[in-house]
Amino acid sequence: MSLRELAVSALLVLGVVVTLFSCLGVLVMRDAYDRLHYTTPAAVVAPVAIAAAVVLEERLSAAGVKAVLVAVVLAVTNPVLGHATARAARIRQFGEWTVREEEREGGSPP
Amino acid sequence: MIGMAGMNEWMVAALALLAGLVPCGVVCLRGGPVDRLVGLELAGTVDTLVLLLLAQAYDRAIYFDLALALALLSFAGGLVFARFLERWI
Repeated sequence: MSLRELAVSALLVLGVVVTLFSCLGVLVMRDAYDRLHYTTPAAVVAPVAIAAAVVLEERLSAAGVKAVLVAVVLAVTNPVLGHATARAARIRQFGEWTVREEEREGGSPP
Repeated sequence: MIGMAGMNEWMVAALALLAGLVPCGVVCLRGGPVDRLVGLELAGTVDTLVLLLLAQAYDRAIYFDLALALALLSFAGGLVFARFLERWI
């Protein structure tokens, strides 16, 4: 087994393990705000690892470039989606998403 | 290895990732609407990764477009769900 094949396998294992633990994290957390944190490793670490594995295997051919593009799209859109979801959760809870009066005086958010 | 003929490491990784859809499905079945949306978003990400791995497993460059399309569409779908969950659903 060459060094390149070893690196490809290691990157694949990293991507799969990170994603599976993200799924478990989303399952065991209590509320939506806590769950949202666990979508990030699956959308940033895992695609980058898998895209790196594809690039190692295929060089920067059409497949390699598209894999990198998918990783970039996932890494860029996930924070936007997370913000939109947290905003929706907060609006459902309080009717607005901006800072409320009782949170202004250095109090911890609920 | 018995029963593993024709499978490469990419297919094994894709199969392993499919197991991650089970927790996402459980989250989608329990909790409040926003919790279910988070489960759906994570399921979209996992599906994108599975398509990425399968494209490489079958060694067709054109299949990578499926993963790209799903990444963009699950983002748009998540935004629409989040928008409607704010007040109207």
